[in-house]
Amino acid sequence: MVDRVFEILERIVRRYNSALVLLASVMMGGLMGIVCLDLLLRYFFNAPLLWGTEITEIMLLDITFLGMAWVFQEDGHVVIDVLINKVGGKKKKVLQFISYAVTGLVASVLIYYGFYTTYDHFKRGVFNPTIMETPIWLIIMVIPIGSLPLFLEVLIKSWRLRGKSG
Amino acid sequence: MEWTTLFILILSSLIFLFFLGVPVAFSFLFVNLLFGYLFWGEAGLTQLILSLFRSISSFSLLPVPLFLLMGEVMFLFGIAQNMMETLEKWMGRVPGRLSLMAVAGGVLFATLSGSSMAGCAMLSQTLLPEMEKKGYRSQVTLGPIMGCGTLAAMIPPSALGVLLACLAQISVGDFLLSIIFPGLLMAGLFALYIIFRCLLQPDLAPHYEVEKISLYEKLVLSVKYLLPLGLVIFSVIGLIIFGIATPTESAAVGALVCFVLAFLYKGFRGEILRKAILNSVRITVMMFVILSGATAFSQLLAYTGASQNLVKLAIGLPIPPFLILVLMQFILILMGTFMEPLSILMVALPIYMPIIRQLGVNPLPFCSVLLINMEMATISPPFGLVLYTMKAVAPQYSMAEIYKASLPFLIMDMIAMAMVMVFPEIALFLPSVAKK
Repeated sequence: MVDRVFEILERIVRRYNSALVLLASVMMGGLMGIVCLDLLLRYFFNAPLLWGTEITEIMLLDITFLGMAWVFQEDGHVVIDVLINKVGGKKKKVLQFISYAVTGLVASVLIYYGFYTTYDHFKRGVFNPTIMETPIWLIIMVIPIGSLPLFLEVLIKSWRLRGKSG
Repeated sequence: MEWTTLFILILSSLIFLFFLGVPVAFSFLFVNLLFGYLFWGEAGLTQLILSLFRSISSFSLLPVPLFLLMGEVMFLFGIAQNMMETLEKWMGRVPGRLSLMAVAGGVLFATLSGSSMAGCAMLSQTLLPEMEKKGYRSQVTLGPIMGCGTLAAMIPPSALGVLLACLAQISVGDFLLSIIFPGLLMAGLFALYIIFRCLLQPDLAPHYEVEKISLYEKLVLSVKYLLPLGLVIFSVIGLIIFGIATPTESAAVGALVCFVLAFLYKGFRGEILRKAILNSVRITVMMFVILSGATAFSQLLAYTGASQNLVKLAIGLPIPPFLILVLMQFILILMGTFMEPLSILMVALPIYMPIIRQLGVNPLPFCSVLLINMEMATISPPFGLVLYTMKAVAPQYSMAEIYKASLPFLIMDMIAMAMVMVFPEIALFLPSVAKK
């Protein structure tokens, strides 16, 4: 029963991650397009995009948090594997579990305090002191949104660890 | 609590988590949130969310994803491979010809990509089979390929260079220009080493007859495959030197030019394009999640008083400032044997930069030396990333052979570091030209 729940959860999280990564990829292309367009307009027409810098800066944060869980899913985050490669069997499992626990804890703090800070900034109406005056809550919202699949991915990987023979 | 106790606690918890195998990014975030909570309570955690946003949402970091995208497009579309073939046609009958090709190819690839691992992989794919066929020994095949692969991060576009400049809070444009000559110096030293080694031990790289090709044919190939790359080099380096564009804008133009070239050479290939974008998203995310803890980590060190007191301690040391700089680099060399560059930079720069500023040392040459040091870390045994890339693309060689082959190039890197430290003009010349 529990296995079935995790299998369904895994499918949902994978789809969610794929959607977030697709968005991050589009933004990657968007970064290039916006910066080139801005340079072109500034250099030849003396009319730079006033919103260009701010949007691209926000996109950097978005790409990072939209892709964070997917990179974790693909084991793409840098790990110093000096010790973990030296041990095997149960010890390796314990180390991996500790690693997942720490990551899960970080993810849960990012989700809780991410939503809390987002809501707090929404309530207080704080905005970025720039031309666009983008509300801060709109910018930082991506932190809890991207951390949620990370937390779920940690749960899935820990569940998978249970079945691995080390 | 004393600042020393707090400093040791923060640093040791971080290193402890690293060794447990917790991803570097989450180790930083965990230490930030743990000590943030201990120092400031819940406000510390709210502050962490805001500092994540401030660490990453920065215009000066924008070249990083764009440089990564450029490198991936050039590598996956096979443009670098065409470049190597053309370059080979020009190389005359010199000692260690194919090893010197690694140097020339490494320098050219470095102007298109900033990834040392991609550099090593590309040079291996294009040169190693031919080197083996011609009877080259591992000392002059693996070493030059790994050493020259690391040039990728030394010559713009260099994502690691941008990150270093951002963490050190120095001008990204100036820094990208300042690393060009140190990078070329490394290439020169590698080439000299290869020539001398092959002259002393000719059996390492047996001479062979080079296929004769007419000048016309060479010129046609060069116009087709080398000249357009000049456009990429101009977009990245030229636009900054002539003050036409900021590093971010030059990176975007560079990436656009790479896309255009890739489509012209190979046509629209959706699957490769998708892979190139996904790879660059993956590396950007990996780097930026580590970096996301940067501001909070610096704040932690500043709050404990560690930054300030370490500066006092360093200045109070009864040794000349130059030796302090050497000592600082030496510590990084040791860290480089078991850690990867970005993690080292994240730990070291918040501690090092205040000391550098207080000592009155120009940060540009210091950071150039630091970047060479970081590239050295990728080929320093036992855990250098490029060493493992080499093993992955050439599994027929043992790790011991790979380690042994990297050693002379580590020594060349150290000589390059020493030269830039003694003659900082090597790093300062190009930024000063750009300012004029």
